[in-house]
Amino acid sequence: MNDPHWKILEQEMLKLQLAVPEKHLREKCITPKQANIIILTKWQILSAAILLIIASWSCYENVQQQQQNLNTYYIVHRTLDVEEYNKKYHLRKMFTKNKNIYSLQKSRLQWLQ
Amino acid sequence: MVTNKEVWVQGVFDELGALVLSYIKTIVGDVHQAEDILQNVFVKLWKINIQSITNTKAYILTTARNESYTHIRKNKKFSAHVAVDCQIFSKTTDPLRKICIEEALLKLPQEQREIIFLKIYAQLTFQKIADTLKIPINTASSRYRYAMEKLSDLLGETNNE
Repeated sequence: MNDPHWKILEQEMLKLQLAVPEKHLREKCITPKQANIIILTKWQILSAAILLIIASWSCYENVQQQQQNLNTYYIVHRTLDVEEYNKKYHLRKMFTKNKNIYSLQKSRLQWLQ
Repeated sequence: MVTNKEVWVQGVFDELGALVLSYIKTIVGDVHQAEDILQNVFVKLWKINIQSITNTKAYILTTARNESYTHIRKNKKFSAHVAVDCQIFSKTTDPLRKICIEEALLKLPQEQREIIFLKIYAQLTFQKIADTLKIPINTASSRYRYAMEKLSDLLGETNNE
């Protein structure tokens, strides 16, 4: 009995050789990727350094600003407006009145110091 | 200075490069995309620890398959089911016959041409094909037979069964 035709085709296909990859593709595949990595790493380091400088500066500015705000806050409340004091609940909570002397509550005083 | 890894990668390429490239072409049906995917496969090989690979052929074919399907998923506009103008076989003594078989093979649905490739050119057993494609062994066997019959029909050859 004859083989089914697809079996004959299978044998024929086995004899066909596969296309060989071109040389340039071989070179690309067998070359270590270090060259590209070095270029990328340089750029990454440079970008990271720039970002770090910007972030540090921004952080420094922020701290300076906070310090300034803190001082301002302190100075403002050293010259406490009595009328404001009577109007604002949070000021009454923050400062205790004792015989016309307004002083920061103990916990906040410690925080300011 | 040439390292062990470089020697190993060169050996893998010389031994399996043509097989893997043709396999990727069979899946994606496009020469240029297949070349890009092959490079990705070798980038992965550069990263892997050689000692962790027990069967290089199985590993590289699976990696090639995964990379091909990842590529297809990423490029949804590109239809993986329609393969056109993709040279799989080298020039043989009968170029006309080669072109006919190539064209007929590329007309088959992706899953059928993939299984033909794995059986005939990667020379995997049905068990290994089933493992690679994650399908039952009987499905692999019947799909292969059906694909070969269809290929034979496409070539205009009558079936003697």
